[in-house]
Amino acid sequence: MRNRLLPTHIFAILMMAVSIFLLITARGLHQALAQNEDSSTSPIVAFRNAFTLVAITLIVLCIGLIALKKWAIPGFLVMLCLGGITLAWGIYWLAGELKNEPTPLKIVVGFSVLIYTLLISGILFLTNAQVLALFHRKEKPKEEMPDILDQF
Amino acid sequence: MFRHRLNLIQIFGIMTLGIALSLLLVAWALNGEAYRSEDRIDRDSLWGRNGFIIISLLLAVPAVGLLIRKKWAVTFLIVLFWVAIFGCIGLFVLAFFNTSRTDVEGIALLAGFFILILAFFLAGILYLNNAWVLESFPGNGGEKEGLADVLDQ
Repeated sequence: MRNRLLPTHIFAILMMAVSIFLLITARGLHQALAQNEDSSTSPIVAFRNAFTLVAITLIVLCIGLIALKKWAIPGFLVMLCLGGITLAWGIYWLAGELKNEPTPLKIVVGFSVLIYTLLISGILFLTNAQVLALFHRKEKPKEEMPDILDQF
Repeated sequence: MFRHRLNLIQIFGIMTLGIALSLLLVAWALNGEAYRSEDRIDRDSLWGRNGFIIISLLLAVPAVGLLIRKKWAVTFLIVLFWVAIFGCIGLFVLAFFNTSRTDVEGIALLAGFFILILAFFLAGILYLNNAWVLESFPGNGGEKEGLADVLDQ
């Protein structure tokens, strides 16, 4: 059984799940802040806000992708590149913290490979000639074809 | 905008190979953990290491199959994803019953993580069953070399 969904729609479904996960994580951080009285300057606040912002941006981009809007693909590419840069900074910081602990450091390396693989696959997918052709072809109205054929 | 002409199925193969590599790195970490103490071997870490190596190999073999565009790789991965979905549901049910009902945050995080993993597998199945993606295989309509001959007639 084959489906005829556009590949970009499958990508949007996946990204929607990622944004739901980020929103739930942000909510968990918000609850943790509520239990802690002196937490106004805590880094948890920054993480909560960042997760919420990224999740909302992803949801907007997903809706754009499902509605076949042209701006959605560059938007996703920017988000994926920014994610890669932020992750590089995070890994550098974590590697400094875990200098004397080889096992967690190796696990961090494994997870970094996983996340970079997903980011690079996302970029490769969204810049694929076949995906872009399908995405842009669906935008055009089909009524033009019979007129062109009638002229011959 | 930058464009490349890799097949959709090959992109999926690259991603699966990357996931297999990351699992292998986690197995390497667990191997170090198992033999850290000189007088005894940590059995749990050994089991974990073996599990990660097996899953990694199960992913790497079809990933290479996808890169060289073999149709059996798609069937193999779809079966693997369905098994993983049922395994995830089982693990979620177990974790749900082991979590305290008053721990709403824990349940919410568990549900969020479950949604994420499930979405990955479902998206993988949808992707591998997609008509546009399967056109990448030779003989499935993706090869357009025969068209010129037809038009010449």
